[in-house]
Amino acid sequence: MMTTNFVDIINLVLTWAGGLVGLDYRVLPQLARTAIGMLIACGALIAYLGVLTMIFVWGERRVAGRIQSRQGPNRVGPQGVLQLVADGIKFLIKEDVIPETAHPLLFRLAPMLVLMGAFAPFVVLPLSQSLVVSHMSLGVYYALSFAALEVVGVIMAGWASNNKWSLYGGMRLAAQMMSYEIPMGLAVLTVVVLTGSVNLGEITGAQQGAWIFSWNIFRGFPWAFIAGCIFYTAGLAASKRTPFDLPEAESELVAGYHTEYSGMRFIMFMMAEYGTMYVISALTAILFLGGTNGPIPQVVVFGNHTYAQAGPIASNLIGMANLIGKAYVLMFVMLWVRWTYPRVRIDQIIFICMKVLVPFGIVCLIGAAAWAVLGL
Amino acid sequence: MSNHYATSFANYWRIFSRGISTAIAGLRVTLKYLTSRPITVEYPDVLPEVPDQWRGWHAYEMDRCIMCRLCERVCPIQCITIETEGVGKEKKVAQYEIDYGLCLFCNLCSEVCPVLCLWMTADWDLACYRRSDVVIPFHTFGPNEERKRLWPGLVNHPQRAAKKAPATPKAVAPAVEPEESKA
Repeated sequence: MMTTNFVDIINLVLTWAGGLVGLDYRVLPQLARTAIGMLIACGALIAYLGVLTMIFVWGERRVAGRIQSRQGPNRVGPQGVLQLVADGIKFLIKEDVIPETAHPLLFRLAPMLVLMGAFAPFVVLPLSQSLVVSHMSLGVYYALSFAALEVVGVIMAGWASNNKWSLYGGMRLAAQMMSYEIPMGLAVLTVVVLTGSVNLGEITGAQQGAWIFSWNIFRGFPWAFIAGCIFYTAGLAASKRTPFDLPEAESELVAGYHTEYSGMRFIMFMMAEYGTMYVISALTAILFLGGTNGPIPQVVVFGNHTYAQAGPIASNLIGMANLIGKAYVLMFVMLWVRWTYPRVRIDQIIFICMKVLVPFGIVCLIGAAAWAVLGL
Repeated sequence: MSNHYATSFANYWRIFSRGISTAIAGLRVTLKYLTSRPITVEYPDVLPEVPDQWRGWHAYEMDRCIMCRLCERVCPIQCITIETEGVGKEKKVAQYEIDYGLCLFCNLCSEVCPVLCLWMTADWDLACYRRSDVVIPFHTFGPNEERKRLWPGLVNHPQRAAKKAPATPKAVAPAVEPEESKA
């Protein structure tokens, strides 16, 4: 396994850059170097999340337009790509409104918690083999547990707004979470049983090999294939996207839990939504679709079993293209799904999650366990 | 409600399979629209194409008008105002106004015109900024020369153009030329 991480790479670059101007970066104590590296990595990931949000909000509006035989935003800049910059400036200069009857502390805290819940999984989510902040041995659990932090923030936002629509939205998410968390965990357990690891890097490493047939969805066929569908569906509910967007429900609850939010605080909810979408898509890509492994086996391309033979930079670039490409395709499917299905009712969500996804998830888990025991 | 809840094992499988098949059918429909061209016409950049017999602004040739007031009389909402001055051979148009705030674009006025001096053009861009601008004073546009400068391309009545076209078979669209030479 590759153990180089994002912080090491940043320190390497800083040492090289310091050498260029005649300064020795390594005179700083180890702790200071780690702290500087982590701060830069954090900034880079937040910037990535921001750019990702902008690209996909624009993409979503274009896709929505085309599905409805419209154009979508196409006036600001070529093909409307600068529309989101214009919108961002508008949000930045908006007045920061806090309702008089809202809880002043919780109202301010809630968007930060939501954004934190969406952003924390980025610590273990790799961008490529080495571009990951931490090769945590409990990576999958870390990502899933911090994704659940978002729910606390949303309920807090609903409560602190002192608004009926917001409170309904928050409570709906609480009810919804009870349903989708269980099948999600079962689907992840299926992969964990098949690969024998909860480290995202090791799960990726276990999927190297022959064409796409070494990816988990085909390796553990049919169990992991079904588990992949379950994980993606439950993830759709986790990211509060149509058809599971009951907490927002713009046709019933104005804007649900973020009705009272505007300006920068609204942007934080927006970034959290698209961040969660990316986390779910990237996790699906890593757990089920081979992660950084491409559809063409490395043996065919490089004549060896690792990308490392192509040099560390080239191998990381190829891995990044594979992983981010898969994640973006899955995110596009989320946009496509959003403009296709109507919103389901709360009883229908519970039916889908508890009566369909959970039984199928349990069957998948047992099947995967049997295949692991039989050594298939 | 038995349609929505699994009351038996067979019902559960029916709901399950119908859910999957309708989900895929829905995605297929939206994918078809996603890959097809949008029907939007981007108006300020691309002008819309109107049908041949579109009824837009009127065109009025003051030189030909014999002041019979048929158009004024046939108009169902009296949106045409005509004033004349002089008598006999000296008679000429003092005022010819159409109030587009009232006009129905029914085309009766141009159908009734005996000398084909009033017709409806395909010029559809009728928007204006002030309420007073909807009343168009056609008498102020002056004789044909002035009118041609203001509205190039709207110089001939379609019936007269159709009559003249076979006379000069060489040119495809000679409708403008004889009119200009005459004026």
